Amino acid sequence: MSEPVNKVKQTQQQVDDVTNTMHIAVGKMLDNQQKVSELTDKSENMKQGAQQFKKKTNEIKRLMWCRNIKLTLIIIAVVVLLLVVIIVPIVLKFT
Amino acid sequence: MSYVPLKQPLLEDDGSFDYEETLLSERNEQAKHLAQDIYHLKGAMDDLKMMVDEQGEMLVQADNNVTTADLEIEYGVEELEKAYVYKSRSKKRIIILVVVILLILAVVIGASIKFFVKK
Repeated sequence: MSEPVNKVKQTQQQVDDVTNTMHIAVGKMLDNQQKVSELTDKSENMKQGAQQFKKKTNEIKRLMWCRNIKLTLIIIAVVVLLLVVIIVPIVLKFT
Repeated sequence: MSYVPLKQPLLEDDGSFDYEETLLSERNEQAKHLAQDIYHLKGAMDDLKMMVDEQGEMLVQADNNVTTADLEIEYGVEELEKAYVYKSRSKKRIIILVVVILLILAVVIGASIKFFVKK
């Protein structure tokens, strides 16, 4: 007669142990939820920062490229001017 | 003679029945308590599962954000390298420009000197 009572009490004790473990787990998950939320926010901020970094570097590249093109055009114009300055006297001498 | 034997078995049965009834009642209450605790345990497990799923989605989103940030930073670094290359070319072309301008000035000065000498 005492064995079924022990089984019920044993099962009750096991359920109590599991309940305590579940409560501890729920508490940890609540803490983790706050940490995960902060982590998501920080990763979102990092992503936005990376996007801005990408935009800025792209603008810098375009700026440098435009400067490069301008210098190229200026050099071409100056070289043409140099050639003109050299060729005109020669042509004048021949005529 | 027949009355006395009938009385004794009734007393014995009553005592045994009371004990068994008390035992069954206690066991029933314990079983109900056990079922109630298991029900609460199920509720806690459901809550835990919901939180795990939610945090899993948040972690996946965070991982995607980090991956995207990594790719964009790498792309940005490549852009910076290209910008540095263009800047270096610009410096070289500035030097070339200065040299060409000096050549033009030399030619113009030479022509001026010749012109003055002719006078």
